[in-house]
Amino acid sequence: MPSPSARDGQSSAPEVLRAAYFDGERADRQEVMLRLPPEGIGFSTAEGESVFWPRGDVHRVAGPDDRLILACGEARARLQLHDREARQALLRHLGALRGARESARDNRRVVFWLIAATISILVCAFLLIPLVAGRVAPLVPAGAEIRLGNAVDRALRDHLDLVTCEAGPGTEALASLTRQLSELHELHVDPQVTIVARNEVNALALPGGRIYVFDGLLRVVDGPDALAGVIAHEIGHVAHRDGLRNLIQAGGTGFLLGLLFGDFVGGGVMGTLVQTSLMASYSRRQELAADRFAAQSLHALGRPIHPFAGFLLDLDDEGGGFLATHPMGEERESAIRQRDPQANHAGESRAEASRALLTQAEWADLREICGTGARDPGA
Amino acid sequence: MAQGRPAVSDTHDASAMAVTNAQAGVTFTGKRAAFAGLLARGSLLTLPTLGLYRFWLVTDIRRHLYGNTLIAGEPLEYAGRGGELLRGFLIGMAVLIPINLLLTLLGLTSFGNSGALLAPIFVGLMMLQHFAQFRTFAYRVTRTRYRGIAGSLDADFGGYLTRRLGWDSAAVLSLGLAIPFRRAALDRYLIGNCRLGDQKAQFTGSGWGLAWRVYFGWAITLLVWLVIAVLSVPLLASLIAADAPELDELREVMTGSVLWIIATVVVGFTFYAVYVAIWQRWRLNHLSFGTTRFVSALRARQVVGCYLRFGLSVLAVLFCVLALATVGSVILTDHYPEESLAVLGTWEDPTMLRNAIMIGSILLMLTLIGAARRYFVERGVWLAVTSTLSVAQPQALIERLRYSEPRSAGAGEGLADAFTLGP
Repeated sequence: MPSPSARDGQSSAPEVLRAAYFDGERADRQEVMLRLPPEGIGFSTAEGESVFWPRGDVHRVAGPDDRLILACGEARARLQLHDREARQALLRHLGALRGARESARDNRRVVFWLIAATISILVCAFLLIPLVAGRVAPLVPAGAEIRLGNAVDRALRDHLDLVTCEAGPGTEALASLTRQLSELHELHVDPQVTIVARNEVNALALPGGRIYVFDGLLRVVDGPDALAGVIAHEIGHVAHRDGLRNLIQAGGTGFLLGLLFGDFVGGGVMGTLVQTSLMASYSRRQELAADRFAAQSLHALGRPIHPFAGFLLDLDDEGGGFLATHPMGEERESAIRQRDPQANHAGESRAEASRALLTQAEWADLREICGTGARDPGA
Repeated sequence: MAQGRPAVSDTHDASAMAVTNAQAGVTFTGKRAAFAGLLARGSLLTLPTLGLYRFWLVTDIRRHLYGNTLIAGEPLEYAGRGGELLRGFLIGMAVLIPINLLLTLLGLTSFGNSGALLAPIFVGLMMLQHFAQFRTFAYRVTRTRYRGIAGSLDADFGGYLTRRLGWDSAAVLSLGLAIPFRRAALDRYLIGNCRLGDQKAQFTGSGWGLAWRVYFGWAITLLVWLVIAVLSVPLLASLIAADAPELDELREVMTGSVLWIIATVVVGFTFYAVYVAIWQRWRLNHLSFGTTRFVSALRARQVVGCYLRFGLSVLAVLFCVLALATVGSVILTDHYPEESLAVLGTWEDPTMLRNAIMIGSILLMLTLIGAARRYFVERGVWLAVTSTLSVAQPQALIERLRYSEPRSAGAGEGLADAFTLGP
């Protein structure tokens, strides 16, 4: 209700408004009359004390729709206006100053900085951590890498329900093939190749030198040379410590995003998601490097490269993938052939001269390592 | 004309006092649309900031809920700030990062044989969690104001921790039966040490008083669920017996472990909701400031309804997202098989875009579920509690109430946000 002492009726804002005042010292409500000088709000309390709130410090406080609640700076005192016209008059009076608009600007600033922080965290997660992982991986001692590999192996066995085939004469053939391939290089860990009783055409290398070749792949490759190429490729990942690097990267990214999401549960969810999406694939560069490693190994043993290259090409045609993390068959095949141009002519003849990696009998044993050929070879 | 000059309110309110002295209602004036609006805005900003905006969203929500709760005609005020919560979160992170790092390294390097080290870390984390919960309570009390007078807490963490550790062990040893006694002991300590200005709160709730209500509520809930289970047996049986092949999948779900999981979750949530309702009513009914008492008429079914609506909305969100994903992938693979393969890759061989879509939709889903929880549970329970609450003789408190320097200043919820605790 506008005060009767307003000077000129409706045309200008009333100069005196009725309000309720809580002084922050006592809980009871005082009726006060607000004066609206241009610099702010002034009024006298019930005790006769004169109070002045400068316009710049006055701000709104959240409350019910039927009233306007005002505060001044950090002080505890509050003013309440119930009358609709008085509220509008006061808001008009304060409108140019620190009203709702000012707090909206504060809010925009907060949002701006939050988005900037988010972008910087994402940059860290997806650019900086891979960079750091690349630098840190070579510094990890071999012993730690092996322990890490064992942990990953345990998780993998639980997760994939892996059954390894470690009986029969095929084991010796596999050990011989592995020995021939790993003797070529100075490796920081000993590669251990194991055949897994699964039908997928797949092979994978864990940190610490453990390599799994799936039985499905064993049944698809043409001969010992192609299989040697596959194993040499995985040894290449081990030599380059790709698995370790990806693990550090995934762990770091997951850890960072976990922090961002704050809670351990949400962070865990996001971390696992990122981890699986990162762990699922080696980068294109890592693949090509491992292919080069395999080509060099085969070349050093004096064996032809075309069975391995052909195997990569076949995979591409099937549309599936050698672990599905080994795409781009054609690109890789031509890269290998370019890498080693003599392979096509001089290499061929030398290959004929060099000793085969496995005898016919050993190869037959190896192919049957997971039991008799009950399974469809093409599966 | 008498109203024209500044008047002392006490004479003005003299006639109203007779009314308020008897019993004054607590009313909640918040509009659904206003709450939904601030929730939508906050959720939209929380998504691109990967959750960092949540501190400001929580602050907005509390301002709305407190500011629209009127006790004897005057609203509560929430004086907390988003920046305070963020600072608390950062402090919490500074403590948790080294611990988390240590745990990660332990887990990776020496898997099974680090039990000796894990135990103290676990105990340490538990202590931190207790501290976080204590700080949360203290923060909210100190940020609550009524008629310009702020609340404060005289309890200290040491006193809370000894009670907490003792009663937690008792609750575990008694297989959960001691939960009401534990709650009562903690409330007696925490609420009994609250102040509003210079007025100390009195809390007279006893363990038995809560316990028999909770046991009784749980017994009734159990009975209701048993009746529902018995009534649904013929339905299940007929479903299993029916030889309609199109029901095969449904039958598989109904007879498998999924049924048990769903049933456990639903029954578990009902028990929790019943407990919350009984506990809130009990704690408010035993809170007083001298002759000023709170009287709550909260019904369990009101709180159960909140959780039920939340559960249904979660189901709706899941259904919508799954339906959208299915329709989208069917359209893509039917009409643009090559293009979608090139852009998205396959399930086994995903491209970055597919991963981004996956992560994005999971984030969206979590955001929607979070918003549903805030709307149905946070707002719903607040509304149920405040609209069934009244205060006897509020004027007695208001006349005595004076400002007093708070003992614990409180600088944010600290670790609490790192653990995301509390409502």
